[in-house]
Amino acid sequence: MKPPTEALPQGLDVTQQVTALYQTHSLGLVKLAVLMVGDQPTAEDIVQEAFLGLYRRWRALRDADRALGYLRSSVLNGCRAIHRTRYRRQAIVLDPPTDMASAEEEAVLAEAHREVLAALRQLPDRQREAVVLRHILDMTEAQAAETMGVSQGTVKSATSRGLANLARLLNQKGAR
Amino acid sequence: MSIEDRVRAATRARADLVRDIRPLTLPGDLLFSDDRAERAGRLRGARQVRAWVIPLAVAAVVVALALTLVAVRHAAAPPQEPVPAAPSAVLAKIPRYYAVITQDHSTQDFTIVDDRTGAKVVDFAAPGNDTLDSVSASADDRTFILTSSTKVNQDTTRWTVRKIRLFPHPGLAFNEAAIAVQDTDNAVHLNAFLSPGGREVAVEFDRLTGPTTVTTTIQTYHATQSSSSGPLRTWTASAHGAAPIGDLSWHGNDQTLVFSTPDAAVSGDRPPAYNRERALTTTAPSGDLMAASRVIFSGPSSLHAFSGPYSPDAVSCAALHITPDGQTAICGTRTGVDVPDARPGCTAGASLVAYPVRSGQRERVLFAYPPCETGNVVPLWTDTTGSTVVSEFPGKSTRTVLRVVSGGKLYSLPLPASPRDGTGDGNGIAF
Repeated sequence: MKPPTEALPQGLDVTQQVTALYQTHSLGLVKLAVLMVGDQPTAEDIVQEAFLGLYRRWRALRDADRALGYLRSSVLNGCRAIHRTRYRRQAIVLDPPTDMASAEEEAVLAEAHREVLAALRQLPDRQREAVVLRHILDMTEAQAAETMGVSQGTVKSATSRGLANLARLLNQKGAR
Repeated sequence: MSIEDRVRAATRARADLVRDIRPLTLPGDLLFSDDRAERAGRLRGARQVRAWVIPLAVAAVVVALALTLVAVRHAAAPPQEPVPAAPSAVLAKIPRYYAVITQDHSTQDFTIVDDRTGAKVVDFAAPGNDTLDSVSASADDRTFILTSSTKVNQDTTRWTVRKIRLFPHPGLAFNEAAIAVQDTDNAVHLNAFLSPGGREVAVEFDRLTGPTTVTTTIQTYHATQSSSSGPLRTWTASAHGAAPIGDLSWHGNDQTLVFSTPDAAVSGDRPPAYNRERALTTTAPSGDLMAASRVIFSGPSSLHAFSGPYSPDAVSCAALHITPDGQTAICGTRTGVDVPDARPGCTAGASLVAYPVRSGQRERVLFAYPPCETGNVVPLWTDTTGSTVVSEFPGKSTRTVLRVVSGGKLYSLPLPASPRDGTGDGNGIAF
């Protein structure tokens, strides 16, 4: 998966430009959000919200070519908000929720893949984002830093810690 | 198969399951400025009066309601006082110059700031394709160490350590000398620190040495070393999942280094808390870092915000520093940055806490941010006894700020517009 980089189509009105962006990039952004939050309906909601936000703020967007960067950051923010909400919900239930996979995921994905995805979801937000942006979307440190709104040093450390944590979690799982 | 390959394979397999998504539905009633003018035109005529009187009335009601709510809120809660700038009496207690890495999108600068005036006395961009990684300051208030890295190729990162000496007299702002370091290629981080007497430099770096292993190396060099004659001493330590040490600094003389280590009670998949302090005599033989060093302070066992009810006696230190007199450990707490803030009602915000080294029991809270104001408080400098402490606070929802606590009061310090923030590791600012 590569980060989308195409420029915006010119000569369209706002609705057409946002729609064109949606047609081009929504699938990639939903895939990104699925990896962050684990299920597709929530991921689609987050991406829809990001595009709606872009639509509302289009006039305030100083540089239309930065729309994609805005969208990526919005999707990551939406994913973080979902995690915070889920965490608060988890705090008041008696039994901690298990790491649930969808029926399709259950049926299609190999056990080894499901273990990796479950481990990925256990990472702190920042580490998960850094790992996904750097190693799955193949972004540079600078691109990932801009998307996450942090420094390149933070991306570097979050990525290395995220990978180390993933390896440890998977080893623990393997040992059991 | 490496961990990166496993992650790629699994995530691509999961992402490939996403094929169809619902179409975007944009609302038709959004009022862009052009649309608003168009709609206003359509409403002119017989219904013109109604068209503007009704919104005006609604707006008046909303304004009245808002004013009422503001008045009620102000009556219920005391107004937040802005943090005053540090007065000259406080500034006289702290170093005059500090170094900071600033970042504006992909542009990085190394800057030395005069905290008396807020003026930048040195400011230069990262050379070439270098990424600025960390800064440290020496006891003379004039010399700083800057580390940077360059990606030589896909597999190799090369590190540079520069000593930058400030000359306050006119005509020569600073000079710069590289210190040759060895065996640091492909380190994940690299920090370097000049000893108080200026004779040696301690270099600390991390490498991923196995799928679950982080190995930290500490090397010492002559501070004047400009050719690769090799380190004076080398010690290493390894840990699983997180760096084995943090907060390295010189202590007292040119022969003692101190650093923090994770609280052994912390385990699982969460970031560890570095609540213990160890001392290393730099004349000790090279070899195992933990065997060569000794524990000088054991802080309170940590309790992460997510794992249970808040307790003031169980904190997670984002950074831990021993005061120069060796009597007090200053802990900057970590809340809500790497971990969710799940404390019911946000019982407390981030804080600076002092512990007597001898007892390890909490002695006093130097300063506590308001409840729910979370982030990493990183103590950057303390005076001899810990009565005056400079700290960095990159809050979860705020930009990084510099604060000085002196005599129990909190003051602000000037900071350039774009400090590299978000790290919470204190590597981007040095006093």
